[in-house]
Amino acid sequence: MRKSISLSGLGALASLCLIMTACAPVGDQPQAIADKAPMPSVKPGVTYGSSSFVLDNGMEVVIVPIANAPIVHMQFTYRVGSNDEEAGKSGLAHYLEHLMFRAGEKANAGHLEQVAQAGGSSNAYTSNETTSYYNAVPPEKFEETLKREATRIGSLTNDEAAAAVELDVVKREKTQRRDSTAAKFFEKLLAALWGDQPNARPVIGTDADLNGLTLADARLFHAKWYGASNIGLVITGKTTVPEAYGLVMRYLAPLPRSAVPERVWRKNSVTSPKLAPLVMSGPDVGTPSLLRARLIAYPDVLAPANQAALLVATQAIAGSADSRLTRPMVYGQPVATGVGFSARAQMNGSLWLSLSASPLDLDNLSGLSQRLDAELDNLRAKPLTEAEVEKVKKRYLTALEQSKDKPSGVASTFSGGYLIGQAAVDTENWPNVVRAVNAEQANAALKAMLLPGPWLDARLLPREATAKKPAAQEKTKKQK
Amino acid sequence: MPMIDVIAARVRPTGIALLVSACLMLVAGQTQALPIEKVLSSSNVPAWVSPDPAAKDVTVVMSWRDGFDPKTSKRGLSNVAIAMMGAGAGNLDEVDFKSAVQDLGATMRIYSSDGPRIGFQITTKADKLDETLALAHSVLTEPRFADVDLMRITKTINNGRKSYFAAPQGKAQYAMAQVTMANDVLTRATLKPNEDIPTFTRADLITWHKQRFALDNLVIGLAGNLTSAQAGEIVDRLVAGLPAKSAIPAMPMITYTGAGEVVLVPAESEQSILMVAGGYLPDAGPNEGVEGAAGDVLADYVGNGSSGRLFKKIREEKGLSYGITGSTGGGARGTSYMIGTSLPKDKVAEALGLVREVLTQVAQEGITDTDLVATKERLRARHGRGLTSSAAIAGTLNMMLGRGRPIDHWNLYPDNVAAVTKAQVDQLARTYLAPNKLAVLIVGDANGVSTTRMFPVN
Repeated sequence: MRKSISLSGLGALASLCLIMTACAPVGDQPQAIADKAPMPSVKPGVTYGSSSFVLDNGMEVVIVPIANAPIVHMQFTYRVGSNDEEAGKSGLAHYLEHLMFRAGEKANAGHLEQVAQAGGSSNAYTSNETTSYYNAVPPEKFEETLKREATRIGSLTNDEAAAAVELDVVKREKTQRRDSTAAKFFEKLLAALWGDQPNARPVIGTDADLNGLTLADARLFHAKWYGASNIGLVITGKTTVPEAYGLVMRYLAPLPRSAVPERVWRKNSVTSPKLAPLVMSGPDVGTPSLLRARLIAYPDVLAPANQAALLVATQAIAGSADSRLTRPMVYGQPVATGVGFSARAQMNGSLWLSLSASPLDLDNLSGLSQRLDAELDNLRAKPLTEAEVEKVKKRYLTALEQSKDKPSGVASTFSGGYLIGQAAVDTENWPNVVRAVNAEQANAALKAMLLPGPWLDARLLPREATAKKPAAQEKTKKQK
Repeated sequence: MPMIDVIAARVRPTGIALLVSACLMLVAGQTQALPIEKVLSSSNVPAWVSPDPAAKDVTVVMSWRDGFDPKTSKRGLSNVAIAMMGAGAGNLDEVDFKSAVQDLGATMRIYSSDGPRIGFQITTKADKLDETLALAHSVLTEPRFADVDLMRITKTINNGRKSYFAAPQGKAQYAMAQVTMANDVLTRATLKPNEDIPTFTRADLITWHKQRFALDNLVIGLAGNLTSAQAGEIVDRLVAGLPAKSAIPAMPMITYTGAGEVVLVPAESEQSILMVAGGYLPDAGPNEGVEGAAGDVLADYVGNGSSGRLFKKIREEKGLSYGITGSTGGGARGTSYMIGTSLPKDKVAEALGLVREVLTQVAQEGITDTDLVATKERLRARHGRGLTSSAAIAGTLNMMLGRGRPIDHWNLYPDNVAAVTKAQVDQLARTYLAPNKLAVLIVGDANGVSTTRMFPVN
C-alpha cells in the first residue's frame, strides 16, 4: 500500500479496475469474439510504441510490446482511493484491495497462489487517489491470467470468516507501518497539512474506523467503484498488439459498462497560515532531520506543460549532485548528509511541496536550517540558466529513454496518465513536452514554489534531543 | 497487498535466494537458455558474458574478494573506503565525477556484497562505452581519497549507523548475527557508532585499496549489447594498471552458534520482531547442483512467499501478521534458513508456537510428494523471470563466478530442480529445521515466551 502518488513526470501510477457485479463468467465467452473483432487502426506511439483503444464498456486499454522482456505485465488501475471513502469508513479502499485476494465466489480463489505457481508475481496497492493491481507472468501464462482477472474483477468473497481474518491482517499491517516514530511523524504532518481534506486521513484507516469495517461495507464499495468503465489496463512486456488485443476482446470486452461515480473530494486546498511547528522524537530515531512542507494553489497543475516545468525546476533544485541546493550543502561547505525537494501535483489541483535535510553535525539542526534559508535566498536571487535547464532535460530524457524496456515502469507511466485523465498519446508525447521547457518557464515554476508564504516546519529528533527544545523555545520568547 | 517488502529487508539476501529469483524461465519442460560465454582477455581475469543484440545498454559487474584482519583494529575500514571510492577520481571531485557519469547517461555503483566482496557495477549506452570506461578505470586506479571527503563521509557513515542501531529492525539484524555467528571474525568486527571509524586516515585507504584491487582477486560479469570479443577488450581496458597480486586475509567458513537459544532484545515499540534461524552449512555443499536445488525446494515449500506454509498458517489462516518470510541466507561462507516477521506483542507466543509446529512437522515428516512436485514446478517456472535488464544478468554472472560455480550452472538449474528427490529435501529439513537446531530472536517484548538470555543493543 503506497500512501501517496507522485504525478511528476507523468510517470506515475497506475491503477485499474474492473467492474464486477452480475457479470457472466467471461471465461466462458466464445473465443470467436476475438476473431470477429477487427483490430483498431492504431498508429504506434512515438515514444513507447503503444497502441491504445477504449472498449465499448468504457475500459481504457494500452498495449506496449517489449520484445526482449521475460514476462508479460498487466496493470489494472481503478480510479478510486482512500479519498473516496465516506466519513467513518477510512481504510475501506485498502481493505477491499486485500479482500480481492481472498477466496471468493469465482476466480479470486487462490489468485496469488496460482500466479506464483505459474512463476509470476501479483500484488496491489492503494493510495489516496487510486487502487492498482498487477500481475507479472511468463508469456505462456498471459491468457490464463488475464482470463482469471476478468472474472476476479467482478467477484468478491462472501465468506465472513475469511473477511474477518483479512481485517486482522490489515490491522497487523497498520501496526507494522505505524510502528516507528517516523511513521507517526509523517501521519501527523499529513493531518496538519491537509486539515479537513481526505488526504489528512491515513490511507490504511484509523483504528476506530478499521474496527467498524465490515464485509458489507466492502461489497458496497466494490459495487460502486469496481466497474469496467472505471478501469485503465496497461499490458506491457513480451506480447504483440494482435495477441493482447485478441485476449482483451475475448475476456474483458464482454464485461458490462458501469456507472462512473463522481469523485466529490476534488477541490483546491492550500496550507493554513496558522500551522504550528511539528516536533516529534522517539527512541528509534537515531539522527535528527528537518522537513518543511506546504500546499500551494497552482493553476492547472496537472497540465503536461506545467508538470514538465515543475519537473525541470525541481530537478535543478535538488535532483543531482550538482543541483542548486545539493552541491553547496552536501559537498561544497557541507552541512547536510542529504537534501531533498519534491513537488507533487495533487488531483485536487494543489501542489504539495516538501523540502528536507539531514544534518552532518548532529547537534547543529538550527545551523542547517539557517543555511537552508540562505541557499533558498541564493536560489531566488539567481534564476536558473538556460544551460542548467538544458542539462536537466537532457539527463531526464536519457534516463527515460533507458527505462522504456522495463515492463513495470512502462505500465506505471501509462497508468499514471490514465489516473489523471490523460490519453496514451499524451504519455507518448511527454518527452516532447519536457523538451519544450525553457528557462523562463522553469524559473516561473521555481518562483511559484518558493514564493514567500507559510511552510509547516517539522523536525524529527532522537529522544535525547528532546530536552533541548524547550530551552530553545524559552530563549526565543525572551528575545522577543 | 504487498506482504513481503517490509519483512524482506530484515532477511539477509543470499546465495540461494538470489539464485532462485534470477533465473531463466521455462515452462512445462520448455527451456530458454541464457547464452553465457567465457571471455578471452589478455589479462586472463575470469569473466563471463551474455550478449544480447536487442539490449539498449551494456553492463559490467566487477567484484573483488574482501577480507578483514582482526589484528589491524580497522573495523569498518571497508565500509568507509567503499564510500570513498565513490567520492571522485582522477582530476574530478565527487560532484564533477557524478555529473560526468550522469551526463553520459551512465550509472556506476560501488558496494559491499556477501562473501564478503566489493562490487562495482557500470551500466552505459553502447555508444557511450568509451567515455564511461575511461571514468570507471579512473575509479579503480586513481581514487581521490581526499581528506576533505574523508571527514564528510566518516560523519555520514557514523550518522547512518546511529539510525541503524536506533531502529528495532537494525537491532534485530545486528543481534541475530551476533547470536548465530558469534565466533565469526566479521561479526565480531561489526561496528557500533563512534568506534574506529573517525580514526581512519588517507594512508589507511591507500593501503586498503592496494591490498584488494588486484587481478588475482577479481571476477567480471558482462551483459547487454556487446559481443564476446568486445567483452575481452572491455575487461582489458578496465583492469589495465591493476597489480597482479592481492594481499588480503582468507576468510574462514562460518560456524553456526545459538542453536536452542531464545534471545530477547529489549526495544520500545508497539510490536515485536520475531526471527528464527536454522544452522549454517558450507556453501560448497547444499548450494550447488541438485543438492543446492533441494535447498531451494525446501526454502520455498516452508516459507518463501505466498505459497509457503508459514505464510498460509501465520497470515492467511490466523491473521497474526501482515507478512512472514523464510529464505536461505548467508553467502559464500555458509548458509542458513532464516524466518522473519513482526507482529503485536500479545501474538508473539502464539506465532512462535505455530512456526515451531510447522518446522517440526516438516523436519519430522518431510515434504509430501504432491508438494514436492508443485514446488519444483514453481521454481522452474520462476527461473529467469528476474532477468529483465543487462544489470540483472551481469550481476548474476558475477555472483556465479564469485562463488565458483561452473559456467553451465545457470542453464542446468531447471534440470537440477527436476532431479531433486524427496529424500534430499527431507534430509535438509532434518538438518536445518529440527527444533534443537533453531535459534530464536525476539526484539521488543517476549510477552510470555520463555527466553534463555537478554541481548541489549544500544
